[in-house]
Amino acid sequence: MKILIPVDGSQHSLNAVRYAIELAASLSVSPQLLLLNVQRNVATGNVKLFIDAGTIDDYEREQGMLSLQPARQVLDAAGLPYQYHLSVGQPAEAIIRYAAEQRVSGIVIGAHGEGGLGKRLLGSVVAQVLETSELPVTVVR
Amino acid sequence: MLEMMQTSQFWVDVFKIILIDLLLSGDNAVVIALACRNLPEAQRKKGILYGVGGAIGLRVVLTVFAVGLLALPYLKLIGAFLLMWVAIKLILPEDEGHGEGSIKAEAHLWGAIKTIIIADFVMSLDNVLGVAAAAKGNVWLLVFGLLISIPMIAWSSQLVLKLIDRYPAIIYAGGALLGYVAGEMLVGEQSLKYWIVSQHYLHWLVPVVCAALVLLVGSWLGRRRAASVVRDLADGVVASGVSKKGEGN
Repeated sequence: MKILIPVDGSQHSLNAVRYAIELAASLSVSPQLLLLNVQRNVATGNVKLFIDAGTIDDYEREQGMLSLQPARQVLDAAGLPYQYHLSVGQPAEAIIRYAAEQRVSGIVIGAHGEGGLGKRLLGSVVAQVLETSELPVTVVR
Repeated sequence: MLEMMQTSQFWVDVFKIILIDLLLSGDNAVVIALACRNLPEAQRKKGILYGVGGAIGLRVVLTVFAVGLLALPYLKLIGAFLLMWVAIKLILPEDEGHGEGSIKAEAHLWGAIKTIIIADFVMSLDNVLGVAAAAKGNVWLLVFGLLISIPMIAWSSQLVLKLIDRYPAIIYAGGALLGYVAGEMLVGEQSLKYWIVSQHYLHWLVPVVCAALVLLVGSWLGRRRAASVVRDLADGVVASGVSKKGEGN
């Protein structure tokens, strides 16, 4: 069994990681845990004109690794093996694509990222994932 | 000044300028940050400071020029068409020509500043043209537009990216607004004055038609481009508890 946990370094996404760890502990065969962070594309038309692709990739990779760091620490502390992946693009689209590529059995996701407009609302990315994904999705607060 | 602030038209113009600044300034901050990335730590702050300073100076100069130039006959005509093109470009989705940027990030201070200033020049043209068109020659509005755009040069564009992500309609509203402003500029053209004064309905009809045109052409051109693309950056596998802090990919 494979579980995908999209993370952005926010508190809710860490709660999702902790929930997945609990879930993993309760199963007789440990599931594979996959972390995913999606960076927004900063390379819009004008930026691409003046900055080379290598620098843009480096920057986005650095930001992505920073966003993954808190979740990785939680998993490292729990002593669990995991895989991580970084991509760039529209977050919901990237999550659904990676989930399909990796044939995961389910997605565990935090209710909203940092700076969500309303604390009670679902994040826009979560809402889109729920709407378009055919996989079971667990939303963690 | 005070009198001016009491008319609703003034506030409509202020709103237009803020929206135009918001949509046409986001790139600057990204270019400045990225151009200074490869500099040594000590020079990076200096590079960003000089870059932002240069961008602001350039924008002031361009704005002054824009006002002077737009007073000349026929130049509003050209400005209006340029602005229509800026508007259409705004609503076109990104084509995934990743890797076409051939300029290497500079490892020395003056190289980075050169990149920033050239990039600022190109990017400020869009912005200044939009603001000058919306201000319709009103100096207060121009200065206001300039001041509003300055923090946006220095700030990150993340806010705008997130807003657009959440409300994609902003892009279309922005494109239509720029088209509308281009239409207003067209109506304000001195050489067409005689013709337009006699047909008063043109004052609203031309801007509306221009806005519609931007949306039509934009969505028609956009249809032939692939929608947004997801790109992979890094992958990693960590066996139980062996990942060390700060480890790369």
